[in-house]
Amino acid sequence: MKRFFLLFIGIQLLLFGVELLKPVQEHVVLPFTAQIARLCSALISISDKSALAVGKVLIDRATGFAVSIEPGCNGVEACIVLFAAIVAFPARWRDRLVGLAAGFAAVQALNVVRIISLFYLGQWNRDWFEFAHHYLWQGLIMLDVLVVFLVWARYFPQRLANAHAA
Amino acid sequence: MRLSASPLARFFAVAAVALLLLTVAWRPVSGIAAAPAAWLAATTMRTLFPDWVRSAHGGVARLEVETRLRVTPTAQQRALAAGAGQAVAEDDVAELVLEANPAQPGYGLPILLALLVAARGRRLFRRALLGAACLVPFQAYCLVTELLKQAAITSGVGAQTGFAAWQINLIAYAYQLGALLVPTLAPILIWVWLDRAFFAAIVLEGWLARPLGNGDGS
Repeated sequence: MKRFFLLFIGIQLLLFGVELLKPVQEHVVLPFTAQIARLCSALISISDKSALAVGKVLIDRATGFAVSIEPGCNGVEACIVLFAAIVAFPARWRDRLVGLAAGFAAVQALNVVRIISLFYLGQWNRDWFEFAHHYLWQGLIMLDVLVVFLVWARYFPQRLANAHAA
Repeated sequence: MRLSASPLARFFAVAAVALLLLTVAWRPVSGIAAAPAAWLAATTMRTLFPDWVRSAHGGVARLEVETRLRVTPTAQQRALAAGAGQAVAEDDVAELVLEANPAQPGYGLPILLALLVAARGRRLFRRALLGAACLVPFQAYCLVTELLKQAAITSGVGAQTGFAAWQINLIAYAYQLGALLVPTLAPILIWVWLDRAFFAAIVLEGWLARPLGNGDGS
């Protein structure tokens, strides 16, 4: 458990530091965030044609309301936490890769729900938008990370002969 | 498998509902709940940076640090002051006051309580109090890094703090960590420690039940 915990913290601090580097922000994080905005716009457009994505900003052309997907809202930090936990857990790399891919999809799927819900919540009531944005969704996303990790760790990795369980 | 048969499905469902209810309940008392972290952050600022911190006050819904950092008001700030009926001349010098909202990083408390409720462990109240106490240093960390970011980076007078370039980079990293990760990660780590029996049961029982493999992992 101690080894897992130390690895988890170390990997996380490293990945978080890498994420903050300017070239990584410019060439990876911002283009990725813009793709999330485009995906949200495409999903909203199924029933509401007023949504438009411009870079990382999601705009409602009818009301002029816009949300900008900033750091902490693009799911990257949540994925870093999940990746660190999966890599730190004693498992085969094949199992880890399955966890990383499925976990990334699960976290980003919920994050898209978060962004779309905030997009509409902000147009309905600014107080509830602030509450959901700053507090509630932060907790729900991290709860999602925890559950994805628990599901993966419980059901997927093959037990290793040389691994320390606790 | 029925939903009720899965401990993980039940845990997730209860945690999600509890998180929603507890976050709504926490919001009106968030200032009071964050008072210990505000006090600790104020004490930390006074203790670690006596050269440029004149005074620091932390309490219910309030964290204010008066500094000796001298700033010249911008044209926009002078116009704002004039609008508020306060005349500020072009060559006037002010001292920077740092402010932070103690409740901002405090939403880890409902996350922790939701996890404790969902895990259904014994002595819930005692562990909730212990967990809330463990959260205080993490919340204070977030507040201190927010204040340091203001003083060293966004105020424009960071040179007066005496921080070297590498220290300013470290403050930027620590601030991002405190703003984006610590408020949500700390309650989960504390919960894993408080409910390690539940955590072990959920993870290790399933893991140990599988046959040994000849994996390449570590």
